[in-house]
Amino acid sequence: MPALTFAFALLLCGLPLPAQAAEFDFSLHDLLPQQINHWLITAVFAGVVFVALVVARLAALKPHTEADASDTGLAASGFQNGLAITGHYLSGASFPGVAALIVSYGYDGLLYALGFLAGWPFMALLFAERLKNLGMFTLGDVLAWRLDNTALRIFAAVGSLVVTLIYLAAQLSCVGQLIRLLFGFEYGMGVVIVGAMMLIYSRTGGIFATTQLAIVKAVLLFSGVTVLAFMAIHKFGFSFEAIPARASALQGHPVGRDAGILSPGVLLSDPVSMISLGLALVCGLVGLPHILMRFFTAPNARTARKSALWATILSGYFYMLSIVIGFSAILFALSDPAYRSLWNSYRGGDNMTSLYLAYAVGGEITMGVMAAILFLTLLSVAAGLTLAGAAVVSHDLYAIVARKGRPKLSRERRVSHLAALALGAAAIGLGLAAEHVNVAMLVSLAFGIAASAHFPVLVLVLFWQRCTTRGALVGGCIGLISSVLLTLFSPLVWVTMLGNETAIFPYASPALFSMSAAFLGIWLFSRTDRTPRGQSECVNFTAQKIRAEIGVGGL
Amino acid sequence: MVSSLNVRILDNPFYRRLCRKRRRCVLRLGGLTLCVYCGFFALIAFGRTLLARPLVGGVASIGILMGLGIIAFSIWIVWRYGRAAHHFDRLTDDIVQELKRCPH
Repeated sequence: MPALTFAFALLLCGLPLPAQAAEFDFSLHDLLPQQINHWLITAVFAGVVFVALVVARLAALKPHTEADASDTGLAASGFQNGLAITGHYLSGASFPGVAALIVSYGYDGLLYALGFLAGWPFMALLFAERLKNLGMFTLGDVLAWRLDNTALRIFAAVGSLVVTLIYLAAQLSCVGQLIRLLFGFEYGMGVVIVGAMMLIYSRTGGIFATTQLAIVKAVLLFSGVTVLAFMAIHKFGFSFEAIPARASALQGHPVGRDAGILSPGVLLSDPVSMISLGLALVCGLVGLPHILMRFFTAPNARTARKSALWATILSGYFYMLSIVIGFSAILFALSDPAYRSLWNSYRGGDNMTSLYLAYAVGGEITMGVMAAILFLTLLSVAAGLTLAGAAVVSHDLYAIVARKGRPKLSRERRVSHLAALALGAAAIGLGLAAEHVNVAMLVSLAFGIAASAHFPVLVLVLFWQRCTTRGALVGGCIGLISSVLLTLFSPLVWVTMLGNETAIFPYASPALFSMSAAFLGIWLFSRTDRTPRGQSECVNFTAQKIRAEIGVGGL
Repeated sequence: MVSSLNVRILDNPFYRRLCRKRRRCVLRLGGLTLCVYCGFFALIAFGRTLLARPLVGGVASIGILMGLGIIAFSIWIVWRYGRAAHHFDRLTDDIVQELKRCPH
């Protein structure tokens, strides 16, 4: 893997940098699609994607021990698992979504980057080790440890599937734009093609191939954004602080100089939206099924904790570079005075502005490489999501709930395949409707639902003795249903995707309301639960606490 | 009903020490993180003009600097917890060793 990183960095660093440093010496017309050598970009794109997929597949074909197969999914060390987690976490919402938001809305885009990172310290401090000690495969394992096995598993499965579906749709929406940009295909065709690829890859390779693809993709992504940011800063004589300052001085940006690219409040104009979105991004991380899956498959609690530490460090590094890339993209790709009239003329939409920056600073080869990295990013995250969704259906719903823990392995596999197929088909359908939506904003809705449905239940089950099945189930359902409804009525879905004139729910994220309702519901229905089962569940809290702390003991 | 194994673990001095130390560490670091994040959210929501103010020399802004500071702070917090957690690992090992030494 280090050799691959080195070779890749060498390839990008060897590219000719624009001769004139400290000035951006091209106009928007240089960036118009018809003047780009599409054949060269396509060849580089295909080459990098092919090599990465072959490397990931070969690594996954290495002989595995029984322990690997039942346990780790190949990521033995904390760093490896952290890299795989980062690979799954840094989705299209992070690259190119964050940079695109910074291009479109300035400082508010940066807030998304901070929000995506801000949940990690809490994951490391409060959840990583406890999740590993209590769970085997899915969130349902943790919730059902001392509470009702059937009810909590069904709730966790439904919540996970909703979150997975929206997250998947966001990835497919982004990949549809990428395929249109690169090959000129219709958006819908791009979504369907990559949706099919995602299903084939995740179903034929399983967790081993998906893990390896996530690691390879993470290495490529870190190398790619490092070199891209380096090239962008090089243009300004390595004066990082000059980039946002120049970006804010641009006259042609729709946000406007006076409104302030460097000031918050353009996209999130009211305090309620800001606080609600902040809560969604910070708390939603803990409820993402494909991220939780990687903690459950860590070899032990220490590795799970170290994975969270590495994931935080790597994500922090990535988001720092995303800020540089976002503000540089404003300067390089949008600096022409004619920009305002050409706002919507970029093929691929604003999600693709990072690729235009790659073209601007490094030509076709850099653009081809970055496009390949973006494609691998989307494929890897989509494959991880499909796997997590399929695991929820086959493990929780079929094996534990329907077959009472005694499933036939062949049937469980068949259920898993069918679940992946159904999930993929639904995500493709939803992805087709999300053509004109920023991928980071769409993913933030998935975070909002995860924060409302999973986070309150998980926190109170783990840390509050009085939490009972009745409380967790009713409160969790309140959070899930209210967040889904408020998401449906939010501006992004109700207006942008469904074409209505005004949104019924005016805020950017439902989390502030739906998460509060969920916490309140769990508290109220647990406190009023006087049933013998409720009492017994409260007593079992001590055993759960011991198990969560040291990984020993049982009911 | 608490099993005999759990009763022994609850009575174990290492376990009680582990719980106390971990709770103290998590409360301290988690509380600090919460304060920093809440402060930042409050500034975003109610102090936009301050965040947009340029730094000395007219380059970048207080908001950009604070954003980078939040990223650095998040990394520092998990690094700090990672260091403290080595001690928790030793205590956990002691508990498990003692349980193995006296299985009943």
